[in-house]
Amino acid sequence: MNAPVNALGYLVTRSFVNGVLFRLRRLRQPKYLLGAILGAAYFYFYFGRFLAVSRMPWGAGNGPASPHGLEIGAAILFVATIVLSWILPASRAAIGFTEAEIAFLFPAPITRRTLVIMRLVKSQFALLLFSAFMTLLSGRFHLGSEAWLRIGGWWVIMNTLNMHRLGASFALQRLRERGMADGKRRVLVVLVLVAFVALVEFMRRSLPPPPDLATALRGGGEITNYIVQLLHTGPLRYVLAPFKLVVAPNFAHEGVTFLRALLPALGIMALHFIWVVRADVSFEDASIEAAKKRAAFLAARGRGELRARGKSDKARTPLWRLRPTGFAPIAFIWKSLLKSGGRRTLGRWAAFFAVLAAGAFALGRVEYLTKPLVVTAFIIGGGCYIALLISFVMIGQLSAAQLRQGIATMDLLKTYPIPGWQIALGELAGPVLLGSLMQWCSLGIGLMLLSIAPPLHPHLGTITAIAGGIALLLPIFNLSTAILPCAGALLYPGWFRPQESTGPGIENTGMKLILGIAQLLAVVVAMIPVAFFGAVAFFAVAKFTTAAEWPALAAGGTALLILAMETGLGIAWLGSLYDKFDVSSES
Amino acid sequence: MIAVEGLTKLYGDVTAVSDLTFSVEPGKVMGLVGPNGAGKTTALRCISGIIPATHGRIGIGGHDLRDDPLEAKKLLAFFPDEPRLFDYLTVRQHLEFTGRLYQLRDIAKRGRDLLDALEMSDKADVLPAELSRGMKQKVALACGFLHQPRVMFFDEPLTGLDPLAIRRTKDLIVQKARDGAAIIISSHLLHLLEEVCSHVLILKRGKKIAHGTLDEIRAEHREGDKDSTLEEIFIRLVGEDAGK
Repeated sequence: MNAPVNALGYLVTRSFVNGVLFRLRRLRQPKYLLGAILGAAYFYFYFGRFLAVSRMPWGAGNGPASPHGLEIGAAILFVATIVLSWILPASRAAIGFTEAEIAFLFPAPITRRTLVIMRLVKSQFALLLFSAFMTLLSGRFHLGSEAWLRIGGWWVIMNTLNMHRLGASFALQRLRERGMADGKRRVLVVLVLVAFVALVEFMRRSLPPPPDLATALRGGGEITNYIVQLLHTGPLRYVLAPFKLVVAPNFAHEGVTFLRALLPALGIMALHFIWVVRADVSFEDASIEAAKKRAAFLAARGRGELRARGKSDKARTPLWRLRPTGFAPIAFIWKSLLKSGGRRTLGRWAAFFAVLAAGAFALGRVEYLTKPLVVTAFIIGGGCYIALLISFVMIGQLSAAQLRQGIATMDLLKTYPIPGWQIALGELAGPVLLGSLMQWCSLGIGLMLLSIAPPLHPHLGTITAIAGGIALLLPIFNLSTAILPCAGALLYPGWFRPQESTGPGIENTGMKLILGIAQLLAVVVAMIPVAFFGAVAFFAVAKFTTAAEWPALAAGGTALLILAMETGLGIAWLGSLYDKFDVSSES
Repeated sequence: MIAVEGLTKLYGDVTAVSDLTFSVEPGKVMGLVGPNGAGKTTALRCISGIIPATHGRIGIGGHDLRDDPLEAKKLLAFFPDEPRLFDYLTVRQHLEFTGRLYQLRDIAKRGRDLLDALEMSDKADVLPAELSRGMKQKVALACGFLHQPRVMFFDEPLTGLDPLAIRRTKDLIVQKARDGAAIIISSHLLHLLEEVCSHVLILKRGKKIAHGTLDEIRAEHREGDKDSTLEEIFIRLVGEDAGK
């Protein structure tokens, strides 16, 4: 077994060193250097605060909290994760190897057991990194040596979980091979859970009644103490004991108690290790399949797609039959709608919004609404507007992603007898159309739900007028915000998808930040003429009338006109960039 | 050297390979052909020990792949259709890593000789991202040849190669067979198989439908045409499955 593990050590260390050297050498290019500086600053300012502050209630400075309660809380979370690892898996047991690892390791003279050990050894670096990250997030780095104890505690928990998940997947594979259906297995696990809940309920009856709701809401720890007492009663103490043992090192405050807690936790970890390496289950087929899927997913992400196309993809029904002749962008919109799911998926979305709208309409007709109904309406209405706000950014980005995917097939597109502006317009118009439709629905439903609130009744006319104005502006605004990221992708393709060849990294984060800031600035600059001419129109009309509606209408109309002109120019510019784009370039 | 008896591979209720029996002697090259989805890659993966067979026995150099997998695998090399390399290992480091996996003693010398033979010496310290498809293929070949295997499996070895690289790879395969290796090649390039292979096995939906030397297969399936090419015989045998 030494030789493969030795080879693995060589692979991991050399890959790490070469990866670091590759990234350092790349910093000679200004874009990566800038990205690295900004990325480092971002990580420093975002995570740096965790270095100096204790954020957790049991951290030093806040006084010791109930260690029993925390341990039990963590143990219950641990139980939940483990239960899920017996319920969720629906596919065959697979180990996370890369395609290269499979190509080199699977035909080599290495036993199945050694392959499992190699995978476990390889996961240690990631687990240690995760443990340090969790320690950082819990604000423990300012505590000096205690931070190391915490990293050790997290490492034990994550390793045990990792091995338990693997062991569970092996055991489930065995059960499948012996003919047990997934549904039957899930029923069994749920029955075990029900038995556990019944045991808790049985034990609860032997205790005094729990604190009432008012006491619990006041705080003071009564409810925590009650739960701790309950989970320490009778057999429950023993049922939870192994889980508590695993999480215990994470709650030790100094070396001796940590070591005392660590030994039993390591014992449980060692038992898991033996369980996993002795399983001898066939994982090769599923691992090859999983590696292939992962590689396809990474390739799709590199192309800017959200998911990889797979065998499970079914043919979709288009919304309408495309005519053989006509305005080319319509064909791109047709393709985009088909890609978004076709008649079936879009029909589901339409049904979803129709139900929401019907509900909102029905609520508006009810004469007397109870308080919970009003609150619910407000929450859903508010949610609609939050979604609307998010969509202002998202639709532009999604449209840009669509056009960037088009760059991947530009070899083919460039052979079509279609001018670049029509391709650009077509590629952007599909997502903009879909996004705008959803925005209109959100806007309308939100308006119906919020108008239920009595304080808004006197202003309903104004609110509806504003919403109508926004609805008119939305499609053209979405189109205009999509142009800039697309132009960026065509002008500086090397700035987009830097992770394609090298995976995520600090410099890639920095480059994305630079792009985000640049796009935001560009949108602000593009809106200046819109706002300026809108304001001019408002004041010019206001001179002739005292009513507010006409100046507002003039301002809105002018803004729309200017935005439409800017967008038209933008599409023409994008088209010329598309025509001139050198598919072999990478600048 | 390669002895396969009753090889069957099931995926649930689906039979990928069914009751395959054949052998390949040292110095011989067997062509494995069949339409897409016939089970060629699955069969190769089973015979090279990458995935377990559901039923059947596989012998490599006298070692049973199920009972004595380590000894059997020491003798073989598998070359996938697409060269899959590690992003951050140089060419030389790929060889070093492979040598360590196979516990070889003189990795540096073997590696140097192979890189010279494959005209890759100047690329020894280069990462895969800087290599062309053909060069990556050469790295995969060098890694596979490093432990001097006596049994070799090539899955579509000429995919994506330029004419010169095709010629060199073909020559290399022939040379390895002359040196005494037993080789199985899976390929859709039937004219290549006619040039290189001593015998051919045709698979259809996981089942063997023809097996023997080219002359034997011609004699059995010529249907009046004694000069049939492998391509003509293949189309005749595979029928509606061809071109899927």
